[in-house]
Amino acid sequence: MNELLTCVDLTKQYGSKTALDSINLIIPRGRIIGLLGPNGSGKTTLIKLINGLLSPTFGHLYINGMEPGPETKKVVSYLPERTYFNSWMKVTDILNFFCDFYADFSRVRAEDMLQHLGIDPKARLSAMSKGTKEKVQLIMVMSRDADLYCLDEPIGGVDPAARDYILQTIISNYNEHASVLISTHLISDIENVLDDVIFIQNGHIRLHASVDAIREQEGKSVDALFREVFRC
Amino acid sequence: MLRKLIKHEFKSVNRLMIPLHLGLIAITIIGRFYIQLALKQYPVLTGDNVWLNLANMSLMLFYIVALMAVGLTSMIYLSILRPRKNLFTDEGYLMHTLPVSAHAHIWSKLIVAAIWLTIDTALIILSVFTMFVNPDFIREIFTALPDLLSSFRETFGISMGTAIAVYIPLFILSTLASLLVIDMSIAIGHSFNSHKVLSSVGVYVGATVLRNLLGTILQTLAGVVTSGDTAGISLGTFIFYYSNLSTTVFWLGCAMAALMAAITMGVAYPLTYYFMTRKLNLE
Amino acid sequence: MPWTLDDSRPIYLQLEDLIKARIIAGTYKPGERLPSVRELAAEAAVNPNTMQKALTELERSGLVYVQRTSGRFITEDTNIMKELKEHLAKEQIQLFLTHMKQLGFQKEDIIRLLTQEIKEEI
Repeated sequence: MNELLTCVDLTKQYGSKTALDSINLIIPRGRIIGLLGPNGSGKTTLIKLINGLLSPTFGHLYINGMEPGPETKKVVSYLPERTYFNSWMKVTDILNFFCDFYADFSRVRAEDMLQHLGIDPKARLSAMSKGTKEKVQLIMVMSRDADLYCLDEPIGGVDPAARDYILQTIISNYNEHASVLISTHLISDIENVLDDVIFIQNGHIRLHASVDAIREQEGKSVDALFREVFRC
Repeated sequence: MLRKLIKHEFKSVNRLMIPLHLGLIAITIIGRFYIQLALKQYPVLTGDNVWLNLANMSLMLFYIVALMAVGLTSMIYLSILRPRKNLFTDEGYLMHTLPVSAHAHIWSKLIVAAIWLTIDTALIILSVFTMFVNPDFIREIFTALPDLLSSFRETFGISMGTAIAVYIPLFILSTLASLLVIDMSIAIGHSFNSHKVLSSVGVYVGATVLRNLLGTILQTLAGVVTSGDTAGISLGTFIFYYSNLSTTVFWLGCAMAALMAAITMGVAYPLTYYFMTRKLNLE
Repeated sequence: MPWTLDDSRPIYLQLEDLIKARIIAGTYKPGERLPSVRELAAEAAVNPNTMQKALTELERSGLVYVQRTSGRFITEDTNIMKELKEHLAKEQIQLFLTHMKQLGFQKEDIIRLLTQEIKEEI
């Protein structure tokens, strides 16, 4: 089964406000996909729906053919926009936590990455800068052998060196069974890493195409096209 | 998975609960030392001096306040602060993306909170007992115990052992019910887009009104059953209220309390589950 | 040699050219094993699928061949290397000619200037 994620008429309303409007989308395995759109376009809503943090108002969403639930959470690795660890925790506490709950978590890989970044596993989160905390969180998320990685604005507030490290991690972690969905509004930074892009605006999908196809057909970068489509 | 959740729940909760109760034990030991040793060794400390009396009274007051503080902190932390922070704020992004069902989340919180509240209650009772017990008192209790037991059997028609055996599960059941009502209120309140805390309080107040109404109805029914002159059947009070009534009334009281807890849980549990899954709305 | 990518052309075509340039420059020598797709992708900071596509194109041109178990190797076929060099040279010359024509030079002038320049260099 090559279809990893399928959205059928997926709709999410908050009261009278429609965040996602009848989205139909298929994401196959082995792709790195950019979910691009201005703030408030519905990117985070889609990612939250995939992770079961929201329920659809209408329509359906399937991961490996299943609606979001404990079974799909086993195979989806999620990096939210915010830091979600308790500050009293040490890095080792977090490693233990992930080992306990995720069967696909590789402690060795996580420890390697921590060492590479010079993060002491005995350090407490409360003693870390915001950037370091975000790196720890990314390491945890990327150290799983998941089917689908959902990274919500992973390069938003980080410095260029950290951004490069994140992209390198995504590239070196790539395998043909898994897909990575990266939401961002900083396209030029990640364009070369992407297979496909999804442009999302006001809860609608404006475009879903491969980066190479866009360059071949439009003769311009995705970033340039994005600026054109979403011109204010 | 429930086992792992409980393990990590204890790990988090223990960070506050263990120091808090070690503090309680320390105060108890120091207080006991002061009352039983210092005052006896140096009778001058209990003399007629106004200032000394005032100091002793202040110490007493401090002890009582400390007891209340430990009990209240435990209750508020375990029933409100911990579940809210862990499941409905930023930490919820981690907790709700674990491959764990909402049932396991609810039960892990309930079980750990109920266990700690039981320990808390036991330690507070033990503390008071330790503080004021002396050899004379124990001797008196032992002499009075047979009388006490038989008079208990006379008034209720059942043995004290049976009463305790029934009372403990009822205590646990009604603790779980009370915790679940709070969890439900938080889950419903946090499904709103704004004013989440205020909404939670509102839901809790509404739920409490409904529970009291149910209690009143059950009491009225019980009144009809026991032909008239009986009053309230709240779990905490039925033992005292019915001290001169028959076994029937004792069992009726237990049944009412159990029914009350069962109905509460039967309503609150599905609602908590529904709002925690279908209506989850993290900021 | 940095992996500099521009914005207009498909990335896999640019990667193909960059690898060709490296082969000609001797960064990757004939008969040598190429780094894995993953390593190359990480080095160039591009998507592994895109790198794969570039390598497939290179295989098609015969410049790179696959050995089932041990990976991709640079061809030792001197003819293919020569062809590639000539092809790239041709591209450069065409580019040069276009520019010269834009400057208004005729065939004879171009040859004269070129011969003169080459003589001076030697």
